[in-house]
Amino acid sequence: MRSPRWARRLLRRLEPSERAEDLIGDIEEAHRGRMERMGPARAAVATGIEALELAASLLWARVLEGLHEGRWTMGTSEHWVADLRYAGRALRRAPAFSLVVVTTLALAIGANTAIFSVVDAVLLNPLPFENADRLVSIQGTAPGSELEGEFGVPDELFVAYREQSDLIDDIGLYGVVQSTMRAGENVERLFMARVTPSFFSTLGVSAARGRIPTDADAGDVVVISHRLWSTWFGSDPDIIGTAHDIAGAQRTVVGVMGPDFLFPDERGSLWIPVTIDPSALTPGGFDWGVVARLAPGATPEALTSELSSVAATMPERLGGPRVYAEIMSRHQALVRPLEDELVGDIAGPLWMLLGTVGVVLLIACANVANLFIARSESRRQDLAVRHALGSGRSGLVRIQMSEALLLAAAGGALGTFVAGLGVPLLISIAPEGVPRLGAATLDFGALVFAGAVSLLAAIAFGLVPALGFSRPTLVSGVRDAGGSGGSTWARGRDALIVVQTASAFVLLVGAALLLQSFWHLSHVDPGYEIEDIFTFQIAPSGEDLNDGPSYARFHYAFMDRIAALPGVESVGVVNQLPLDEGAGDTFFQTEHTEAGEQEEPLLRVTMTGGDYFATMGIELLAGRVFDRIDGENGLTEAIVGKALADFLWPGEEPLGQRIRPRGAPMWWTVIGVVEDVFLQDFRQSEPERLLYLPMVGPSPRLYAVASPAYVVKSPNAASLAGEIRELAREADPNSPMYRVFTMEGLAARSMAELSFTMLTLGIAAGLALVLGAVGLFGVLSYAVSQRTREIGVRMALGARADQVRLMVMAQGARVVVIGLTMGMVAALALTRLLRGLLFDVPPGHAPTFVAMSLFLLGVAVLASYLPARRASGVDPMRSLRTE
Amino acid sequence: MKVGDVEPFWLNSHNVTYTGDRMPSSSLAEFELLVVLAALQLGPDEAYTVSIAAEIAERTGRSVRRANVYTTLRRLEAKGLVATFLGDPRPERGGKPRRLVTVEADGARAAREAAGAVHAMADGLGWLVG
Repeated sequence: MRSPRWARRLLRRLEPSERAEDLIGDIEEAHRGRMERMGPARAAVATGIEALELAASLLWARVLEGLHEGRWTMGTSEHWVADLRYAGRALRRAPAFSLVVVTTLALAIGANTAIFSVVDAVLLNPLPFENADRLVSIQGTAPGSELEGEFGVPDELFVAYREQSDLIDDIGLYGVVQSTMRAGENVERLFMARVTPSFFSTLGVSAARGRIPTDADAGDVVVISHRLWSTWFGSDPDIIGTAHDIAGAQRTVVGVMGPDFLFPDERGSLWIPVTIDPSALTPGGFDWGVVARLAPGATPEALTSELSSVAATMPERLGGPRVYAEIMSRHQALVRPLEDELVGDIAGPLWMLLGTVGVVLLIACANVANLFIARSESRRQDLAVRHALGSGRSGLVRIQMSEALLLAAAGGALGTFVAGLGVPLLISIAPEGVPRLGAATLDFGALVFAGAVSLLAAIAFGLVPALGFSRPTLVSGVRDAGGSGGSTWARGRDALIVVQTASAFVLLVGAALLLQSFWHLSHVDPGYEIEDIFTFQIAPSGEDLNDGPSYARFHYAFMDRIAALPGVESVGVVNQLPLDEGAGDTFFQTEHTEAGEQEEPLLRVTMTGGDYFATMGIELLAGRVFDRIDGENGLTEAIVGKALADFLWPGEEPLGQRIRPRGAPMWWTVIGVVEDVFLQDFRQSEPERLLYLPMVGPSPRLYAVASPAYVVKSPNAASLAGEIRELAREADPNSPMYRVFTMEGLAARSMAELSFTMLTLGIAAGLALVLGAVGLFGVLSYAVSQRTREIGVRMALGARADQVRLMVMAQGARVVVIGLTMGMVAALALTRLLRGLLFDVPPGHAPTFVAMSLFLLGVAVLASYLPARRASGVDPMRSLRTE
Repeated sequence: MKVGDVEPFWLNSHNVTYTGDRMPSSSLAEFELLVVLAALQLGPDEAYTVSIAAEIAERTGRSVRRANVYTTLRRLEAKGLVATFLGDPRPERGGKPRRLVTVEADGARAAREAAGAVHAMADGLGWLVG
């Protein structure tokens, strides 16, 4: 088999014929060597690449020679100024052309700059820490144990890692809690980080003011964020040493961090030091975040294998239940670069978005190049006259490039403006918790990016037509009225339409798949309703609030006041709300586990009171719900989800069964069975096995529900916040409302990543579609204008108007069908990237592909209809007379 | 005036550009030196793009792009340092001839000077160059 034909043709084009033969001989010889070594397919690819390389070097050599010999002068600045002025005047005379080009470019450049600003802030700007590449996060997993997925690090493993690892220079713990801070007039629930003092040294940060905590500090000191310092304390220079009521204790401010430091939580406002006492470890709280600094030269992989043997020794040293032993025996450390851990979830979608808007830019450039070719075709005579008057090739190129540069500059400027509007929009629709997203602005880097993209675009859409229409053979024919050379350009423009169609198809299919996923997700039945439910939390405080019954009295009284509000249908409380906090887990015993027939299960458990089930629309399948609790005595009753009932008592009657947390001296009796619910999000394949306990159990400490979520059913759920805030202020002026949502808002939040990608991809697809349609319209209109004479002859010879229309539309359809075919291949490959976001629809979903093909074809028919109608309106006499 | 040539200066005077002094043709860049030396090693009957690339790759152990060799040869030929002529058509090259390379006297002198310069500079640095 010979070397690829296109490679030989390419080289033959680039070299004079007396040179091309031996060059192709070289390629052929190399290709045959490759065939023997790597087989025909890979040899063809490698030879193709070598031919491209050769072509590039030849072109480059030609440019260098040209510059050297003065054939390719760039001209003087004076000359450029004159040409730019001329171009400006020429463009003013073609306002429609200029407007279409500038708008197209502005949209594409704007979209690219906006996404780039976000990518720059989130993905490209490394963590604002010293030697950030040595920072890793450590988590754990225990496949096959009771503890699913990935989880945090318990105290005892942190201590063991710190003591035993040789690959760690420094290691720190952190956890984020939400608690109340009071200072002066301000009372608010804030996100606070609890961290070991080594947290700061590991990251290598110090306080901008004051100091960071040391091991000598007890928990009564605090470091506050720059934002808290400036918003709450007006950047008071005397802040250090003041004490405030923070998370239930008086704590003294010892330091203020710099404005860049927001780790581990963007919303974080302060850091409270904690110390882990190695001599008093209680095993099993898998919820700390860990950040470690690797020793120089150590890798995350090496650390993973070093740490993975540590966990297995824990049960022997510390005891604990069998399930703990099982978790630890299967425990594997998960070590990841901190940067990946922070941006891991969002990196994929963001890069994809940048790629998507890059495609839109390509389409825009193809469109503009098309318009430029058409414009150059129509000024061929003008260019020829200039040439005849002595303008050299560089002069002709410069005239055409001047227009491209002017339009690109205008497009870039307008695009920057578009990006200025787009960045805040992107931030507002982005999913919560994207690290450093707030830092995304149209900064210097983004402006440089916009400028560079504009310049590249100008070169991409301007240079090819400019070079083509400065070729002596093309421009010298002053008397040539169209015809020669036209077919090459026609083919080039068809190729551009093919690329546009293919790109638009890929984007359309992607957007359609996401839209279907969104639709499916919105129609999942999570077991509860999301309409007309308002929810918030409140953490009352006071001397008399100290045990389960006292908290329950507060909550019942507050629920009564809310229920009295106009429009409120029912009110309930739950310790942890689905879609927001999920539920905790605890080991339980049943009579089966007591008899040794079953392992003690780790169950999701939450406490509830009031009309929780009715308010949330969770159906009661059997039995009854909890009664209102009066006085000091709680209930020893439990309600189980259906899945839990089937799991604990398969084939038995769940009502009347008994269950208790491990170690409790008394039993809770099952009085009701309810519908299952999704706690995390709507993508779960099956609901959790959930146990509900009453707010007050058999002892005052079992359980003290201090800060539950309230749920309120009301047709005006979205506007209840003000009224309830007023009630809350009356009930406890020191306890602010927080986590204020509607269930609809929570549902939207859980789908934010999907809707973000869907929206941006949808906008990109829409842009691509419009640009593609405009491009097709332009190409066909131009083709019709070029073929006026031919169409006139056809009609003079008896062709009917509908035949002519069909002919023109078929020409458009042919190009679009080729583009669609290529688009399908590309879409099959690229939609896989969306797999993580899709729900209930496969990446290669055939009906979507068919529907989008038909849709795109329909748009193509529309875009070619107008030119076709114009063609069929050609008057044979007039068209022949113009010649 | 041939079409595409530089136009007469009286028509378009600002287009006349000063192109600067040419590099003295006798000095060789490093890769040029390697190409000339390889051509000398192979001799006028065996030196052509493919064999020169292979020779450099084999002796220096670096990967050599034939495209670079090809354009370098063209440049050397333009400077008059090597001459090329076409050999016989060969079946293993799809019936195409090889463009065989002969090093001209100027080329050999330039190579000697460049190699001499390297030797002169490396003198006394035996620990480095072995």
